[in-house]
Amino acid sequence: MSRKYVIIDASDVASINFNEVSETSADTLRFSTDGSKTFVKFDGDTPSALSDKASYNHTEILTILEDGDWTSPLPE
Amino acid sequence: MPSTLLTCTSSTRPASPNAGDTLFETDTKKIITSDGTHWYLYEYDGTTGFSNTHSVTLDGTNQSVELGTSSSTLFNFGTNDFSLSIWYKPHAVGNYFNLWSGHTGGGWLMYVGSGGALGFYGDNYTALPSVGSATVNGWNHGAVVRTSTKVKIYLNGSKIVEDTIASTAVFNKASSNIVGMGATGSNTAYNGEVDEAALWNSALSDGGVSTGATAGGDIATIYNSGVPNDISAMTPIGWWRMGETDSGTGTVVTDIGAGVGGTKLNGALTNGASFVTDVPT
Repeated sequence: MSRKYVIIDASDVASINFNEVSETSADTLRFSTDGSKTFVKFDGDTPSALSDKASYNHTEILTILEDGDWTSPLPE
Repeated sequence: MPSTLLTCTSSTRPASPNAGDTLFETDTKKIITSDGTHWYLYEYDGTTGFSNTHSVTLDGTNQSVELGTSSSTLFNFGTNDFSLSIWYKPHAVGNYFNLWSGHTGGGWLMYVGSGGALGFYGDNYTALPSVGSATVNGWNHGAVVRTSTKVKIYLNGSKIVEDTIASTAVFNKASSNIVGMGATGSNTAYNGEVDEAALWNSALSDGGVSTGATAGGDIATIYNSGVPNDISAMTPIGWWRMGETDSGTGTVVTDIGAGVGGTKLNGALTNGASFVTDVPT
């Protein structure tokens, strides 16, 4: 079963059961550059707290994370 | 008359052992024996061979091998000499992919750049050399060495850049930042495998080679023609083997380096990062 990634609002982190997702804890989440969004991933059944949200596969989430909303890289 | 132990691998250990069961694990080279409930592992002594069987895979989103906590000071190099060495197999390359980072805006950052270049960034250091071309989906070795007034970068056994810096240039992790392989910082997370990461609080030697030439000295010993070598005699202060010392299971990445003042810094597989058996060969 393929892994799925779901973007959530930062305000929804408290509703996440970290036994149902791959993320270690709320302290290890990666947030968008403005701090308003984060994401979690899971294998198998969709956790109830994420059931009404769009999910993405690995390729799709990598494309999303390339956006300036998620990274503010140094100029190279 | 010699006796022969039964064999297994770390993934095929008997699930319900009897007390006294003893086997040889072919992938980890460990002798394992059970008290009927737990397995007890006995490491080979290092004189009979060195094997590399595991690495860590990171998915490029938020997974990392975290090293210490925000209060850890091992990665605050200040103006002192230091060396970083890591094997890596990138699945993608781009603008500042965080390979080994103590970086959040500031701090230091060993990164995979566009075209597979390898670079090093520091707060107090603006030259940002990023050169060379690592093999995508293949194993590479990268090293960064800081001497008093130089930063040298090595890719796959060759010195690819040497840059002059001020002797007062400071390389510390960003304030309150956790150091890790693949850690995102404010840049792109590293996507691929990492293996055999090591740290010295001294400058590794390279035989005095020119930029573009194959390094000698410590760098050649570590690179070993593309196959990870036993570097225990080089006494890294931190050495994270990425699975061998942890049987390729769990989330702890044991530090088998010499430590600083006897203190070692185990890593933690974070956000679902996992051990795999893909290694440089």
